[in-house]
Amino acid sequence: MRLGELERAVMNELWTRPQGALARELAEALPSQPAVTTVLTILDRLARKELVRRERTGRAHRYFAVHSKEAHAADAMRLALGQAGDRELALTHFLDVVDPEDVAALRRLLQGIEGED
Amino acid sequence: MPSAALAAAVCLVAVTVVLLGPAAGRLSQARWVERSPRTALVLWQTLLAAAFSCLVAALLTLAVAPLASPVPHGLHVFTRQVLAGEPLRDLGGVQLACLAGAIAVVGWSASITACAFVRQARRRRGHRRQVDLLATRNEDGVHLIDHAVPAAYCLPGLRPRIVITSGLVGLLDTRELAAVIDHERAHARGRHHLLLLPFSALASALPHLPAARAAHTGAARLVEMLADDAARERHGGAAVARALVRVAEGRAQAGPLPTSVLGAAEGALTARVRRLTRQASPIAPWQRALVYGAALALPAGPLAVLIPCMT
Repeated sequence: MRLGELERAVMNELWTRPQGALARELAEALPSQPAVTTVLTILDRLARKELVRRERTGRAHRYFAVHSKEAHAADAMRLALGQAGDRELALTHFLDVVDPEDVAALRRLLQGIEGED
Repeated sequence: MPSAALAAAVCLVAVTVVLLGPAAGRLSQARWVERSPRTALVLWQTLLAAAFSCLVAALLTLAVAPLASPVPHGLHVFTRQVLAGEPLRDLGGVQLACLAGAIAVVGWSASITACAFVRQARRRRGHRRQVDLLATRNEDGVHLIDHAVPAAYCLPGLRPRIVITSGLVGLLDTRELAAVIDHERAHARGRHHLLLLPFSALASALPHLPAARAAHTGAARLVEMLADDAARERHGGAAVARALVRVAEGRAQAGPLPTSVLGAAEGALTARVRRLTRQASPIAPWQRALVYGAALALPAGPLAVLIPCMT
């Protein structure tokens, strides 16, 4: 399994556990059954990317996702939809910008199309 | 300075001005572009390339004027001097300034394009990491992000990603969704981000030049139409048009719509929907041939002047 895939799997597991998780628990929960040391490496990488934080509990660390999945999605879409004025991404959207007046005119056009079907 | 060279240079500058002024204005208003978006896109590229090469040629004409007349022969002499390792022989101060100007125009054009490419690639890398972390991949390689706002886009790169949101999936029926995904696949397959790169580079380098803005807006709209046509071929125009309208409505409900930085989105969507609901009617073959001929002749012109001196 690629590193990126494992990072994704670990993050998805952490996102479902707001109470945090131990590396051992994550290793057991992941379908690919990675070694605990592998999970620790992944967690270390994620911590460096500031996606994960950890707290000491006894002899082990408990790991938490820094932000919820929803927050990450909102952030990604804010960037992609260009509401922050980020045109440098140069994404080709199916639909980029809409003139509000367009929407009203389009509703009428759409009724025309559906009439034909 | 020989007056013939000066007259030639003035003519070349005049052509540049006409291309970037009235010609660009006409092309951005033309209605036929909707019928043959690929040809229109080639015409935009040709227009910018021609304006660029006329400007460089004007400066070069002035630079080599004292070497020989007519101008092409002056260029031959200059090329021979370059090959002989003494490029600046017999050139005065004004000529050197013009030569430096020509080199500067070429260098500047190359550098704004390269910088735009690097800037875009860097900005996209961050977003690609977000997408790879968040999205679930469908069996057909489409990246799905859990988010209410309906959206679909192509994230270009070596391995392009098609990204859609759960909001989009909930809004469209199977056929419309397939049409949207094929629209985005057409962007990825056609490397449309590279096609648009010189246009966006020029528009951000010269934001106050109306022709630069018009060319970028025009090219961006045409690329959407190309992708619409690809989707239409497989799913029919009505499915693509319906998807466009549904997404527009969904976005309007989701909140304030982002306004275009390019400032020319007015009616763009309506135009796309209208053309999808009509039968395709490309322009005549001879008109297309004319455009492609011009596109070939323009870069060939300067080469044709130089080739006799190489042989």
